[in-house]
Amino acid sequence: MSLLDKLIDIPENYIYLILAVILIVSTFVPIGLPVPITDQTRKYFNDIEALPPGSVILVPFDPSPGTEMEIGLSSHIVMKHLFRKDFILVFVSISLPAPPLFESTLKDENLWDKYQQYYGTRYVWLGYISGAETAAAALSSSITKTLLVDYYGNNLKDMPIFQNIEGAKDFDVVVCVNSQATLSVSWMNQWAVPYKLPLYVNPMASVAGTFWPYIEAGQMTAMLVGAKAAAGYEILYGEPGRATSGMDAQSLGHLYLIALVVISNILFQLKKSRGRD
Amino acid sequence: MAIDYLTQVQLWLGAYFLLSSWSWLWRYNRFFKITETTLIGATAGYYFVQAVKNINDIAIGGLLIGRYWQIVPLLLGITLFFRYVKSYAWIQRYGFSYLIAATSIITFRALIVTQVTQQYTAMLRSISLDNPTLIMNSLITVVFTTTVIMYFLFTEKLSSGMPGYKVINTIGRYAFLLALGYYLGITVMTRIAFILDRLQYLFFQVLQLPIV
Repeated sequence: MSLLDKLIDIPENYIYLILAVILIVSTFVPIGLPVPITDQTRKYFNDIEALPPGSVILVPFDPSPGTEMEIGLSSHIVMKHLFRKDFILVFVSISLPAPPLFESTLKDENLWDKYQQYYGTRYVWLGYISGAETAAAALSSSITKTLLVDYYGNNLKDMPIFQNIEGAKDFDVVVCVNSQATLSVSWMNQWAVPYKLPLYVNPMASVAGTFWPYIEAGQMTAMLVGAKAAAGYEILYGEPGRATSGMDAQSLGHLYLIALVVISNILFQLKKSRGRD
Repeated sequence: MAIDYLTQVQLWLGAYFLLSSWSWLWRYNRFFKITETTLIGATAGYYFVQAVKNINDIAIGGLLIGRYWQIVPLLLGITLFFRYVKSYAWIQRYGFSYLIAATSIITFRALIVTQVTQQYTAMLRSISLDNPTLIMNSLITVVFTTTVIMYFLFTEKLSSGMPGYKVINTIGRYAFLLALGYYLGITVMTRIAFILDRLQYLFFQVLQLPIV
């Protein structure tokens, strides 16, 4: 077996082992690679920053535990931003794994105790509503007719926040924190497009490609794509955190995989040309 | 930072489940199996509790304040369980047909606007001849969209006699492969982020190791 054949047939285990070594070493010894901030991240941040205090925002909150490094990180920094700006926030979920993550996100960012006194006046957590897109449609016409109580069993009609909010027509913006692309599309279909609301989404990098046509068509306003965008948002917000600290390892991991793609293509072409000889 | 006893247990349990999940890379083993079944059991239990909470808060709660019409969706929901009784399985059709009809009406009404008319308008709007970059973009959009659609619509057998078919087929195939390459790239990006998250959890939260 020639060296070329040996290189082409290198066992996968070695490839994964090298990747693991790169990720572990760069996690412990960051080298400070630059974190580029994309136009989408900048637009997302600037638009939220420009909203006047008191703007009414619907936040469909649907991350899942498995997507912590992507949706989790972007949801943490966006939640901090939304709370700091004194908006009126209505949080709701149409996916089952979300409810425990809502409280843990607020607690991790020290928002839980800080803003507890404003519960029911400035923000409310409606919890999980079954029905996916049909639930989003029902909530768009009337939240208080669809639901009687919030996640903690408080009567919605007794809450000051719902004295001036009925359905989608009373909202200014939708900020979607969803781990599944279909959920963001549901909010787009039932809220953003029919009621002409700006829609900001936080997709995983792996599904972001499916959102570009919506951004191009103006159905979605801007998106934060994965951990890289979360790192950019942290920098714009002025509080570099977990996303920024993981960027070195992520960038080096990507470089390693790009190198693998290039090397394997060269080896493949070499083998092909030798076969012809 | 001092961590209380309960959090310690939680962190170490998390580390155990994480490492046993990764042990599958070596081979399917007893530890992985325990983690797998624990995850399925915990997920099923959690989902059940959330579903009961939903029924209680929305449907039962509505009945208790006089929204008696809410008995209808409740009964339709119950019909879905008749599939487990062979002789009465036909009753489930009522629940299912309502479910499918309601969902279809709500989603299709929106889909026609968001996925068809607005997307088509946006595609036409994106065509611009203002400067060389935009001309190139427009050209790529039109050529790639058309050739990929043709690649899938017209098979070899149907269009082998069509002039220029081979060129269209090749362009369509390359355009499609470019898109797949893009998706593979961003999927890898996501997977690396997931591994990183767990590594950070293991080293910095469980073992509390310092960054150099």
